[in-house]
Amino acid sequence: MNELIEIAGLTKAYDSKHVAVNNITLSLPRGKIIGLLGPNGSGKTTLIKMMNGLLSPTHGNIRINGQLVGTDTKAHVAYLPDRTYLSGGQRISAVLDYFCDFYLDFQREKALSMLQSLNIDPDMKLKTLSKGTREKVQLILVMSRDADLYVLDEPIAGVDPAARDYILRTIINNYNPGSTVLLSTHLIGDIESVLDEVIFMRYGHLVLYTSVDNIREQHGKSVDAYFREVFAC
Amino acid sequence: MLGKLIKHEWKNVSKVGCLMLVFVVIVSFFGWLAFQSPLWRGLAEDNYYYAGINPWDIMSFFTLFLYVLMLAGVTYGIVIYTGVHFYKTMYTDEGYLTHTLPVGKHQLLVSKILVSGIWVMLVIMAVIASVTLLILSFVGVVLPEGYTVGWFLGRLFQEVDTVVRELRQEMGIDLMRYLTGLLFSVLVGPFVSVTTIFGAISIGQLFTKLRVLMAIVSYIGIMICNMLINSAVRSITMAAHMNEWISDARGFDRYINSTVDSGNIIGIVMAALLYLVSWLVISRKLNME
Repeated sequence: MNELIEIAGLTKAYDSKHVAVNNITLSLPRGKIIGLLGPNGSGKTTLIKMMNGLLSPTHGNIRINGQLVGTDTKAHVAYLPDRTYLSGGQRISAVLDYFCDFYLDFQREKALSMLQSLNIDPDMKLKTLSKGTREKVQLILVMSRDADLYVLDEPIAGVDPAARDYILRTIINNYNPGSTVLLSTHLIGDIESVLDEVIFMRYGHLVLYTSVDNIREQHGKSVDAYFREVFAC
Repeated sequence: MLGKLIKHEWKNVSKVGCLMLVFVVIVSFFGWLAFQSPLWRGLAEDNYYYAGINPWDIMSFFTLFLYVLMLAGVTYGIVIYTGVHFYKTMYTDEGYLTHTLPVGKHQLLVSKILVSGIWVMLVIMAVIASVTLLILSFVGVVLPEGYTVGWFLGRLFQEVDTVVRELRQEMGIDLMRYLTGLLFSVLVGPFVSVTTIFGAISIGQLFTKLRVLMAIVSYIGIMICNMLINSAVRSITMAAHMNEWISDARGFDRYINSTVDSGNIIGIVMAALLYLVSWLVISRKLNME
């Protein structure tokens, strides 16, 4: 079975007027870097949250490795949210201990080496770090796991171009090639070169799921240019 | 995984918990200091002449007033802190990490209730110890010369023993059973309190907006329900034992004991229901903003 993620009839309605994800059915394979693309409010983050058990679907379900989202799937999914989920009062070393304790696939040495490459002292408290550095620490924690699925929600939003390069390099150099990376972003131009496949979402609906090569061959355009065409206002 | 959750939860909560224990020690010291006023020492003298209020006495009363206020504050403070900590780690940004850990929902809740309950209990015990020491320091100050606190304690236990025995023999009142019920309340109460607060916070999460406000409203609602049920049970018990109570002191004993017992049982049942609510919210209705 090559499918890593199976989404069936997935819907998330916050109320009768606000349906964030609308009846999505989709299967995603292993070993791919997939861009989850769409304008603001298209339902990307809602879909990602449901994959990580942070939101309960209104209808439908998601299976990862054949299992419904739950305790077992969380052991194999490395998730980077679009916010800081670490308590500022903690030292980085304490967070490393935390990850070591709970994630069997967490590689402490790998994390330490990545921190060292950025000259980040593990004894520092998170609140003493700049926002950008805290985001990098969080990315290092996520990418130091040997997970089946990496779900990265807006990993390059709000950072300078140099930091973007670092983040993308970290993702590319550290993810397990047998696993899948699902990456949501608005900044398509920056990540296009690393993507194998893309998912376009609009108003909670799945608009397109195809390979990057297919877009280039069929439409003769880059993903960025095609995205602009599809989502033109 | 439960052990690891408890370990990390303990680490997180103990910072504030220890701070509160240190605070109780400092407040207790000031309480002791308040009884060193000449006013209190004068009470032990047979021919004490009260020369009117002086700044030292005003300070003493003011310090004692603050002592009571601070201890009440620290008791409520630790309960509120555990609630805030629960909310922060479960339903704010930190919840994104908590809920993506590969651990069961029961394990999550049990670890939080256990650690928070233990810290609330420790602080309550520290407060009880502080009050006891303060009373003893007062006794030490007002005891006539030649008498010690040790002598006082010896007499007190003798008297209590006599009172307990006489109450049982003469009136059929079992004071020890009542005290056992109270001790049970002190031991189980902290866990019931934190589970109730966590339940109220979880109920707040069922709303799409104003979740913190709705958690507070839920807590007030739960407390009102608890009081109403307790009052109803007390009224029924009182009515049932009224005739006995008038004719026999044992009726009063039964009433008091059943009041304590029913209070404990109602608290535990409500906590169990609210635990279930919290579990349902985080396992089936979780909606992280």
